[in-house]
Amino acid sequence: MTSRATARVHVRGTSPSARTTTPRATRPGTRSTPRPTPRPELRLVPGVTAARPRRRPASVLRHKRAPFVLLVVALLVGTTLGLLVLNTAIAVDSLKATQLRVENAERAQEVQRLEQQVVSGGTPAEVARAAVDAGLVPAGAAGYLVIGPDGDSVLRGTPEPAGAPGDTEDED
Amino acid sequence: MPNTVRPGAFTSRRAPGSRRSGSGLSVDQRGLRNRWGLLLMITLLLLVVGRLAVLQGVDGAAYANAAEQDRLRTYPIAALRGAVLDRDGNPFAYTVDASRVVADPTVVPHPARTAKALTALLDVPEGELTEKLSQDDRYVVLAAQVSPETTDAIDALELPGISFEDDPVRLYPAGTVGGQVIGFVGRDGAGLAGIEQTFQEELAGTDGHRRVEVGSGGNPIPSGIDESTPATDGDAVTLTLDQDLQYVTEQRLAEACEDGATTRASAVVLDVHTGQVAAMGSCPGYDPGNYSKTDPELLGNPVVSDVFEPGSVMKAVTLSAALEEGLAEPDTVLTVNGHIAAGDRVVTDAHDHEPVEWTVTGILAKSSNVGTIMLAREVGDEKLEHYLRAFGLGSTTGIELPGESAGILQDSADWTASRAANVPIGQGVSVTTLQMASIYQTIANDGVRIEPRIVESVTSPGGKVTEAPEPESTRVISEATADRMAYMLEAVVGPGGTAPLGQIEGFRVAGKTGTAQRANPECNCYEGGGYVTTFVGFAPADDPQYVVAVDLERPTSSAEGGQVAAPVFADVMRYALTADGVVPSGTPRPDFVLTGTP
Repeated sequence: MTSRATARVHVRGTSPSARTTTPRATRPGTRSTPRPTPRPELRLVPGVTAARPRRRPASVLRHKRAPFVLLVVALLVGTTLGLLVLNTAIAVDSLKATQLRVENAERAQEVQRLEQQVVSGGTPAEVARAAVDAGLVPAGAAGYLVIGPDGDSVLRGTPEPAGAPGDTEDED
Repeated sequence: MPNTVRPGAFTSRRAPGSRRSGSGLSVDQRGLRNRWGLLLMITLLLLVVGRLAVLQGVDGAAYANAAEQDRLRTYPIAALRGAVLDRDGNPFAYTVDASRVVADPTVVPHPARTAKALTALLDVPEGELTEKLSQDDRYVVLAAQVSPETTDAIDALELPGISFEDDPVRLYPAGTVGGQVIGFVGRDGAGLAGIEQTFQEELAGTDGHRRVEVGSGGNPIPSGIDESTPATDGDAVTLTLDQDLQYVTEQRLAEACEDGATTRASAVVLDVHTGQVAAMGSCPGYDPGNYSKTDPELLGNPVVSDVFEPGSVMKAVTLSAALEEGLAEPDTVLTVNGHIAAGDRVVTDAHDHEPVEWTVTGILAKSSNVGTIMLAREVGDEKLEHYLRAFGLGSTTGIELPGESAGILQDSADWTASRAANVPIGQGVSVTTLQMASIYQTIANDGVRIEPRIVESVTSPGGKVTEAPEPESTRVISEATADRMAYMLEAVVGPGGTAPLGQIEGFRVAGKTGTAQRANPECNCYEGGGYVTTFVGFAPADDPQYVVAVDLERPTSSAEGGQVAAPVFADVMRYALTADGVVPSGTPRPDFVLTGTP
């Protein structure tokens, strides 16, 4: 009985040595009046009472708090790390995007340069010059073979053999 | 409280570790001081809170905005101007990316050293660069339209204070070929001539911009604000021109201009069935890429803007009117004198002659002024004017080119007797080369005139093609009249006609020469003006495909159109027919009756 009462006191006070003195002795007495009713419940754990005093009550609480603190710390660390990872990932992506954009621009530049080459090489004046260089001559009058409904072919126009390169350069 | 020092006679009021506050004061004094202190604190706090509220609440948005603006840089993204293409998609004009090199001289540490590094790359004298870089300014343009390769090279030098802006460059790969039709763009990128001017709105596109958050060094912050409104590139304009035919035409004209007497030569090729312009050019032409170094007088398109008196080619209109009105037939015989009185003067044929019996075909083939005036008088001035206008004279064709002239055609009511005799033979009336070609397109197209057009379609960057609206087509003369006109015009190129040089081997050609006195711009008279020689025709005469009109301005020569313009016509027409794969005529040229007995 008394041991249980002291145990209670221990929970509340921080310096048990100072509190086990006289004023507290009245407490069990004052409390003894309402006790008859809850007593059967308290009796349900007589075996444990022997072990209890050995365990320090503060550590019980600490044990109860520990998972919560751990959870909070874990959450904090997790969030920080997560944020860091996300941030890094975004930064990496952003850098990659910039890099790809630069590469893209380079490719576009290359395409533009090549297209420009094709266009300037394909102008009529360039083609004409290249043709003359290759020894080609402007075509003369062409002859056409027109196939009639009866299958016979008729020659239209008077085909002329092309002149030697250089001979006909003043023709168009 | 073990440290509390109780006031006493032998205790210093400033004992070590003691706090002055409160000590040695009465309760009342302490209360007063506390109250004042509290008041002071509250006042200060209120001030701070108030200021904070003002900063955060009232001016907050403005400050945040200012801070953002400080970090944000807006770069314009220039829209690429649309290309101008020929009918097969070959570019006459297109735009490529390039940059403008700009500097912030306040950031450039060594102007002289920077100028030295840039001078060769930018092709700008070192002294000029040093001067620009030493200016007390925050923005100077060092060079415009610099190629991407050069930009990369400059970028690699990592010069502080040097940056780049979009400055696309317009290229005209074909050079002078089609230059007068295409036109050019000014420094601000606005079209100033030709198609570039007419289609400015379609070609220009809309510029965009990019907003980037930058660090103190001006480099973009990764994962910072980076938003861009892309530029919308301009639409591409596809013309009806054929670049190869255009090249051949211009080459041939340039050759004509080199004969020593020709100061200007123009030609236009029309598709008979659609009225589309397949080639159009004049010499001297110009290179749109180099327009600033060209004589401004030459920066037009004479084919649509220059007018001249066409001369005998106009006789086709007079004779069409006579035939359409039922006043004559190709074989109607007229007794034609060598000269005819017209008001206060006498009009003669090219060479005065004794009266001859010529058929109407003969009158056209021999290009008799007198015979034509006789027929015109039967038609009457008012009717003649009606036909002239129906063939498109005196009004613009509506072609999609700037600066088109309507030509000059007076009301018949105002014609004097000599003017009434001049108009039927193509004097006292002015036309453009294009109008002249359009007359013959009408005859070749069985009498239906289709307004000439040079734009085929407009294509958006997304590939949406908008076809140009159908040109107006009107019947001017009946099919029968058109057929008889084609027959008579073929006689001109035949034996006994004025233009045997207009013949093309294998093809039947119909056409008409013209040699008109040129008005001398100095005295506004014909004295010393020389001649404008013309040839307009179509081929093959039995199934017309193309109309070619050529006119040469020859102030110092009196050579006739059949001699100088017809060969140009033949060369251009030969190429047009051959390149298009037009099969030579299958029927021989008919025998023409030029003379007869009434």
